[in-house]
Amino acid sequence: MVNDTNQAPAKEQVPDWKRQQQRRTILLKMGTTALATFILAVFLMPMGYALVTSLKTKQQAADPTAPILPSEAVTIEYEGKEVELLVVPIDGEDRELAIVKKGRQESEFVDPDNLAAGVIVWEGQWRTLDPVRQGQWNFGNYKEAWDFINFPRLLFWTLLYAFVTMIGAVTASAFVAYGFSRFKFPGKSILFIVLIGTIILPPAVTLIPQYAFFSQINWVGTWLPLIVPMMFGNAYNVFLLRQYFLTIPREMEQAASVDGAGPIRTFIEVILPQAVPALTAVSLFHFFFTWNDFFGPLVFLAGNRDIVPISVGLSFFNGTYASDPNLIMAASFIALIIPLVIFFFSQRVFLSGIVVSGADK
Amino acid sequence: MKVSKFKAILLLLFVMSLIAAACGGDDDADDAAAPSDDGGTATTDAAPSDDGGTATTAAASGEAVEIRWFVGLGAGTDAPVIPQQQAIVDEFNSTKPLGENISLKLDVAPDADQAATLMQTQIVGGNAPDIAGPVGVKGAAQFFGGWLDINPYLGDYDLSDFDPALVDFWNQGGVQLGLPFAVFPQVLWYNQELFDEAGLAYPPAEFGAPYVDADGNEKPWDLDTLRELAIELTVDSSGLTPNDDGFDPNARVQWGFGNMFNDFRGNATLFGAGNFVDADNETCIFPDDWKTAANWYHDAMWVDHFHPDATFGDSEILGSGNWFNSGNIGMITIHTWYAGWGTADLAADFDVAAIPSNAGGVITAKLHADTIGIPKATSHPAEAVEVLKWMMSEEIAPRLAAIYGGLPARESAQAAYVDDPANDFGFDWAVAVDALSYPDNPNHEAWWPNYLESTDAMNEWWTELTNDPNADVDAGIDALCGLLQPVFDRDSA
Amino acid sequence: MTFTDAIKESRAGPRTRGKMSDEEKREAKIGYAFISPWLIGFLIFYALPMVASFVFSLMEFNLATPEDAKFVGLSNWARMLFDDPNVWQGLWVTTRFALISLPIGLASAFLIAVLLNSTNLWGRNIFRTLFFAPSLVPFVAGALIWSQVLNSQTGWVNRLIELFGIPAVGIDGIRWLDTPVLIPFTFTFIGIWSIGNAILINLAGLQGIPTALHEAAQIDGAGYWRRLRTISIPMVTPVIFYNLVLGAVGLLQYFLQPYVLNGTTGYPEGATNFFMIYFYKQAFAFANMGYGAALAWLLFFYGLAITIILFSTQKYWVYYAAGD
Repeated sequence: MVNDTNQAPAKEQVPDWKRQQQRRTILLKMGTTALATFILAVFLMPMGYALVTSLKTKQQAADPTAPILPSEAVTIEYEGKEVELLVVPIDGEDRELAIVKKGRQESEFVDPDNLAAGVIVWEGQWRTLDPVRQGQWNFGNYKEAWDFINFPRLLFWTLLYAFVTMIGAVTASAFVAYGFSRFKFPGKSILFIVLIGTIILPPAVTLIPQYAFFSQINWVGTWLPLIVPMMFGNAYNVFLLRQYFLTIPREMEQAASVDGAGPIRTFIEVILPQAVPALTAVSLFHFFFTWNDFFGPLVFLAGNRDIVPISVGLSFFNGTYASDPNLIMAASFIALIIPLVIFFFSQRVFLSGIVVSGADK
Repeated sequence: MKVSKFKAILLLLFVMSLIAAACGGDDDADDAAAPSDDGGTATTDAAPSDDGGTATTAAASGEAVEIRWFVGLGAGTDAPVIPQQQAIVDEFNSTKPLGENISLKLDVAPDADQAATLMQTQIVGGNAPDIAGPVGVKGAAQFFGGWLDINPYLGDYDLSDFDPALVDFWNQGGVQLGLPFAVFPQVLWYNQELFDEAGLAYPPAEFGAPYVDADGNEKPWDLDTLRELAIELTVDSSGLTPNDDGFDPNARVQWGFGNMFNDFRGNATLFGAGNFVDADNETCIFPDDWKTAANWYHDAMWVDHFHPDATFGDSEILGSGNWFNSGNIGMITIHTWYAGWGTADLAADFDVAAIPSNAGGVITAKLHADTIGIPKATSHPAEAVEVLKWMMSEEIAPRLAAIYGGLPARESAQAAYVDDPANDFGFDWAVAVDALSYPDNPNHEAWWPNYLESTDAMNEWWTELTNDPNADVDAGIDALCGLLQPVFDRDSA
Repeated sequence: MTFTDAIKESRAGPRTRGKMSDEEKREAKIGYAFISPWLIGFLIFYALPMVASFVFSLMEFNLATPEDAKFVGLSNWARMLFDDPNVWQGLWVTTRFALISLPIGLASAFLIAVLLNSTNLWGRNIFRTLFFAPSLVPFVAGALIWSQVLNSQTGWVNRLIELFGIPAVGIDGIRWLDTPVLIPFTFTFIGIWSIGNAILINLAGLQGIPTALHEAAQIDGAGYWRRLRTISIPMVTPVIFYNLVLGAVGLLQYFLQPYVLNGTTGYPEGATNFFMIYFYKQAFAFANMGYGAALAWLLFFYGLAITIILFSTQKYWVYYAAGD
C-alpha cells in the first residue's frame, strides 16, 4: 500500500518530496499499527484474563476485594495463625496493623513491629479497611499442570497425528480438488454435492456406525481410524483447495499441455507452485484442525490412555481439576505455546508465497 | 460411459465385499468380542451358576479374560481418586483372587458428560465395558434397560449385611442392577471463621438438638433459624448485612447459606421428602412442602440475598461453583462425597452439623447410595459379576467407600470405618452416621415416568424461575404440572 | 459449475452422455482419476455410516438397549415434522443466530485479514500470530474464560464497560447470558474470538493475488480503497465463498459454546435452544438415537438446501479466474 501522491514532481523538488512522503508513510504505519493494536487488545482481553487467572491461587481468585493482578494480603504469624495486615486509621494516622480477631462492631489488632504492646481494639467495620497487599505471582499452577500432564508424550502423539495426516490429507485433497476444479466428467456436480454433504451431516450421527465399523475390524484403541480415512483427503481441504485452484487462470496449463505435458505433470509443475500460499494455508488449517480435534481421538482411542493427543489429555486434566480454573488456564497456556510457535515460523513460507505468484506473472 | 459406470459398480462391490470380509472374518476369529444379537444373559456361554463360583466361566476354561472397569458416570474422575482406584485394580491383578485368567483394567473417562457418550458408543459398537460405576440414579437412568440383572448370578450371596431398602433401591423394574457399596448422607457444613467473625454460635452437631445462640438462648434448629443465621452471615463490601440499611446486594462478598450441586428435587428435599409423581406413578402432583421450598429458595436469592444465585454462584468469588471451598459462604448442605476434594483449598476451619428440621419438625437428610453396575452388553457377564462380588466384599467395599467419601453400605463395616484415622477428612463421621437415620423417602432421585426427559423439563422450569429476580413463584408452581404431565404421559406410550 | 447446472445436467440425462466425444471421454477419465482418492475413501469410511444413520432414523433405537431396536417406518419423521414444537424452535433459533452471526463474522475475518496483510503494519508476523492465538485455546478453557469474563457481576467485560460510565455490573446491569435478546450477539462475540481460521483463509487469498495486478492498477492511478474494492475483494471472493458456505454449515451445527455456557435447558426463555442442542439431548442425553438421527437428517436437508441456494448465487458475485 503506497500512497498516491503525484508521480511526476519537478526534479529539483525530489528531496523535499521524498521527505514528505517518508513522513506520510511513517504516519500511516503508526496509524495502522495503532489501529491493529487497539483491535488486538480488545480481541485478547479474555486471554489476558486467562493469563492473570493462571497466575493466581484459588484463594487469590476468590478474594472479592483483590485487584486485577495477582496479589496477596501481607500476613504475619501470630499465636500460630496467619493474620492479615490492614491499614487502620488511628488518631489521624494510618497504621499497618495485623487483625487478630475480626468482629462486626470492633476488631482487635496488634502492631507487627511491637507485639509486646499487646492488643489494640479498633471500633468500626474491618471490611472497610484497605488490606496491605504485595504482588504474588503464582507460577505453581504451571508446575502442577506440567507435572500432572505428560506433555512430551501427548505432544509426540499430537505431532505425529498432525504431521502424518497433514501430509496425507493435503496431498490427496490437492489431487481431488484439482479434479473437481479443472475437468468435466459426468456426475461431477452430484459428487461434489456428496462431498459437501459429508460436512453438512452432523458428525455426531455417523459416529456410532463408524465406531461399530472400526470396532469390527479391530481398529478401536489404535490411531488407524483417525489416520487412515484422512489419507484419502477430506471434504474441508478439498473444497478449500478447489476454491483456490479456481482463482488460478488456465492459460499456463494450456501452454504446458501444448508442450506435451500430461495432466499429472501439469498439476505438479504448474499448479502446485502457483498455489503455495493456498497449500500452506490448508496445511496450517489442517494442522490446527488435528491439534484441536478432540471427539474423534476421545472415542476411538478410548481405553488406551497412553497414546492420546493433547486435546484429550487436556480434557482428562480438565475433568480431573474441574473446580480449579486456575490450573485449567495454566495447562491451556502450556498447550498453546507449541502450535503458536509453529504458526509464527510457518509465516515465512507464507510470505515467500507472494514472491512465487508475483514473480510468475 | 457405460464402461465406466460398470467399473464404478464393480469398484463399489469390491469395497463392500472388503467390508463384509473384514466384518465376517472378525466374527469367526473372535466370537466372544462380537455383541450377541439377542443381548440378554440367556445365550452367553457362561450361564449363571448357583454356587456363585467361577466354575462355569469362560476364564475357567483357560481363556484369559480382561474385565474393563469404566469410571466416569458418577464419582471417580477427580485427581486424588484416580490413583486410589488404580491401587484397587493393581491389588486385584497382583493377588488374582478369581484365578490367573481374570485380570482387571481401569478405564477412566474425562467427565460425566463424555463418559455417557463414550459408554453409549461402546455399547452400540459392540465393545461394551464389563463393569461401570460408581453410578448414581441419574447416571444409571441414561442406560435404562441396558444393565445386567445380577440377581440370577448372586446365588446364595449373603445380603444380610445390607439395608434391604438400599438393596431394593437398586432394583428397577425387577432388574437388580447392582448393590449399594457406599452411602453418602447429606450434612450441613459450616465455616467456623465466618461464624466467629459474626459473633454467632455454631449450629448443633446432634440431630434433633436445639440451636443455642451466643447468649445461651435455645431455639429449635429449623429452617427459620438457619435463615436468620444465613442473613447475619451475608455481608457486602462495606460490612453491611441484608438487615442493615444501605446493604448493596450487587456488592456482596460473603453469603450465608447455599444448597450445593442440586436440581430442584434435591433442593426441595430439605423441606421434606417428596416427588412430583403421585403413588400411581402417573399423575403429576406438587407436594406442599416443596411449594414452600420453591418460595423459600427464590426469596433466599432475591429478597434475603443469603443464597448465591447462578451469576454469583459461577463466579470466582464463589470458587467457580465450588462455593464452600472459596471461604466466602457460611453454611452449605452437601453429601459426604464432598469430603476431601471439596474443601481442598479452604484455609478456614470448618465442621459439619445436623440438618435443620422443616416447620413441622421433620428432619430430612437426603441420601445418595451409589452402585457399580454391569452393562448387559458385556461379553463376560459371569466374570464381571465375580469381580463385582469381590469389589462388594467386606474387605474391598469399605475401601472403595472411603475413596469416594462415603460410608460403607455394609452395616457391619461402618463402626470400624468411622474410627479409622485413615478416613479423617477433618470432621466427625458420627454426624454422618446419625444422618443415616433421616433418609429421604421417596429419594430425591427416585424413579419417575420418563426419567431423563422429566428431569430435563423440571430443570428447564427451575432454571427459568430461579434466575428471574421478578418471577412469580406461585404462578410457576401452578404451571409445572402442565409441563411435566405430557412428559410423564409419553412414557406409557 | 453450479448446483442448478447439475440439476439441468441430470435432467438432460443420457442424451448428453451419448454425445460425448473421445476427447470428452478422455477428460472424464482424467477427472475421475484425480478424484478417485476421495471417492474410494468416501465409499469405505463414510458411505455406510451415512446410510446406517439414515436407517436409524427409521427405527426406534435406544443407545442403552441396541438389541431391542426395531423398525418403525416414518414415525420418527412424522413426530418431528408434525408433533414437536422444539424442532421448529430449534431451527428458528439456529437460523436467527446464523443470520446475525454470519455477516458479522465474515466481515470481521475479511477486514482483519486486510489489516494483517497491510505493508503498513509493523510486526505483521506477531500480529498474525496473536490474532490466531485464541483459536488454539481448548474449548473447555475457552468456555471457562467466557463464563467468567461475561459474568454480569464480576466479569471483566462489564467492569470495562463501567469504565466508560455506562452502568453494566449487577442484577440490573448487562446480563450477557441471561437476556434472550442479547444471546445471539453474545455468542457472535464469542465466535469472533476464535475466527483465526477464517482470517488465515482470507489472508492466503489476499497473498495469492498477483502483485502485478496491484502494480498495474496503481500506475492507472487507482487509490488504496479503489484497489481494495476492484481487485482485492473480487480476487478473494472464492475464499469468501468458502467461508460463507462453511460458516453457514458450521452455524447450523452450532453446539459447543451454548452447551457449555448455558446447558441444555434452553435458558433464557429458549434463546439457547439451538437445533444441535436439541439433537444432542434426544440422541445422547435421552439415548434416543432413532429420533436423534431423524433430527440430524432434517438438519442435513435444511443445510443442503441452503448450500444449494448459496452455490446458485455464485455466478452473481464470485469471481473465478479459471472460469468454470
